[in-house]
Amino acid sequence: MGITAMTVGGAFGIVAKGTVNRLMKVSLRRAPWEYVLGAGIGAYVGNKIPQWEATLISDINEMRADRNMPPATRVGGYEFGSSITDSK
Amino acid sequence: MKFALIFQNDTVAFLPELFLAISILVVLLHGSFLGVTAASLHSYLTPSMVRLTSGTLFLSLLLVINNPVESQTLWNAIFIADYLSTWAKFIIFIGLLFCVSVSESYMFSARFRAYEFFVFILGIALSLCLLISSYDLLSIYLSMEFLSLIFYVLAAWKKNSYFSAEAGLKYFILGSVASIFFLFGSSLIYFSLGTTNLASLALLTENLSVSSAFIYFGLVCIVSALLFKLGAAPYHMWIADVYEGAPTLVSLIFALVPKVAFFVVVLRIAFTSFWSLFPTLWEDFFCICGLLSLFIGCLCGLGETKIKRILAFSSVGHVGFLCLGLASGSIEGIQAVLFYLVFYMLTAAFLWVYVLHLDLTSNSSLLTFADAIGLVRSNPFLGFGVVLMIFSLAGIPPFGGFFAKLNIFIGLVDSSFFIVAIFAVLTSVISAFYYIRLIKIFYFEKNNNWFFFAPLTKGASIVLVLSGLIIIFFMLSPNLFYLLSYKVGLGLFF
Amino acid sequence: MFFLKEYYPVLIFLGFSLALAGVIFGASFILAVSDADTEKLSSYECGFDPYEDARNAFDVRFYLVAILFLLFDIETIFLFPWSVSLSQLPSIGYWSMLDFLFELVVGFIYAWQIGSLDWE
Repeated sequence: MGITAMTVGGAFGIVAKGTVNRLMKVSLRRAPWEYVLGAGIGAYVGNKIPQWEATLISDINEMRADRNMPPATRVGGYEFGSSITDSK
Repeated sequence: MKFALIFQNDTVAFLPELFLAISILVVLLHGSFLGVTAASLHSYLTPSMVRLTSGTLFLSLLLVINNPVESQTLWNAIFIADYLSTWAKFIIFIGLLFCVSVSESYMFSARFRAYEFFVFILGIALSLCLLISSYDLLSIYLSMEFLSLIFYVLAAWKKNSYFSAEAGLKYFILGSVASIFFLFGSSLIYFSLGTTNLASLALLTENLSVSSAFIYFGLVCIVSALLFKLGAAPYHMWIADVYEGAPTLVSLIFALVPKVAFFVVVLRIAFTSFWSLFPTLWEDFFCICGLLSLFIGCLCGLGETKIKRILAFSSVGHVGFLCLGLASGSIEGIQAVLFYLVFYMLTAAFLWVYVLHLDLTSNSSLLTFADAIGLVRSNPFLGFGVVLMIFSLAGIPPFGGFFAKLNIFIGLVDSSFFIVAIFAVLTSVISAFYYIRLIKIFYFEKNNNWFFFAPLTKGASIVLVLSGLIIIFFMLSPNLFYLLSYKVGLGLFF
Repeated sequence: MFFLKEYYPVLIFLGFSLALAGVIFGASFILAVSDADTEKLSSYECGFDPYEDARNAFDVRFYLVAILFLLFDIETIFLFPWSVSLSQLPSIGYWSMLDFLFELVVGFIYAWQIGSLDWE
């Protein structure tokens, strides 16, 4: 379901908005509705990324089957199934 | 009309480019009418143009992402729509959105009143999209010329600055010579093989029985022209002067967006069309160019004291790494190159926005180390972010740049280029010196005068935070980047 | 070079033109007697010493007119073969040229609006 991914994404969004305020050297409480915006976008991205990764893995295996290569177990520095965002 | 049915798929696949073309015309007319009717000299069009341009770029980005055509050649096999083109257009639009977001305060303080700057940015987007989708040597040439003409004009934008005029003139003359070499090389390829279409060239050179001197010479000319536009050695001499002389916003655009597009073109030529020439031509060629670029990038950067020139020579070094990744010739090499390009663009975006921020308040037109002092006292978050990005550029773990270089080294070692890899590591160590020297200047130098920095605008902060966060996100969960670059690289082989 | 034998006349022409240009230029360089002094080399102003520099600031309006002429002249040149062969083209030939003309009309309206067609 990706609850952890969505919370992490939301946290990223909130931290992003806080950093934007700090970089502009205004108070952290300036334009607080943008925290909600950041959390929303972060949660959306956090929801979509594991789904996107699963689609990418199936696409890669499909493309490799088209080119008569065996299905992949690792892609460069990433071994399939070794990450925390993986569904397996 | 039968033609509406024949080219129906092509039109649907080319919707981003069609939208950009029509929006260029509309924005041009909009600006001219608005600028004149509102008592011309007192109308300030830049905020409206910024929003219009970023809206157009965002909508084109949406069109690119939702492209229904997956992998097919378009318009009589002159253009192609595949995963590589979608990914590269995505990166280009993100980069151009970054550029447009930071442009407003710079345009105000540098007194650029002309709104045509933003029409040129849309023109850059259109030409880069066409360059990425090109599948024929002639359409590559036309898109490259479209892009280069816009860049020549942008480099000379500041009318009262000798440096800007010098940059524009040098870029124009040298860039035109490079385009001449490209055309000459494609004429030689046409002379020996009878076609300029990349897919037909792939089928014709499948086995090495067609290896005449004309093909090698033509290919060397073509790829030399493309490497010239990238700034690889031995064609790197224009980069320092143009990056330094052009207005800083224009240097930002130069540093961010064209590299992805030109590497896509080089990938298409080297891996799709002339893949069988790898053991005879491409290995030696890219190794030599890569090693020379690394060597020059690290040596010339050591003696520089001006910040924009340091970033220019560091980009020469990074292009050297990318050429070495191409030299390894395997799918791991392509994956390493595509992965490195993403990280290089994000890091360059952060650093060039920082240089833009310095440029807003510096007294002279040339930024030296003296302007960089005191960043940490004035804006500690920005200082910390710049330090992060410099570590990433220098290749220090656990930041993204280290893993990008690691992938390139893995590709090289897998293809048994051991001495090349050792040399690349040595030059990487030497170039790390001038990166870390910048950090020493930020943190430990004392300034005798008061230092004053302009406040960061919202657009600039959002750009900085987005690029920083993506790099931090990479540290936590890197699989997305690996998977994406692998899939895109796999789409090159058929 | 067997397949280049049709280009032999071009090579001969190149040789001829180099030889002719070399002879004309070289003969005047070698054979002419020049005995230069300041009076002979200075610029002529009806016997007086020159008052001021003969150059004046270049008016950029002329350059603008030349650029605009070049653009619209190239457009006209493209119109010629299209108009001759239009009867043999399908309807897409007509609409492609109209699209090209439309884009140049947009450029023309832009040039008109920002005042580059005004001579003042």
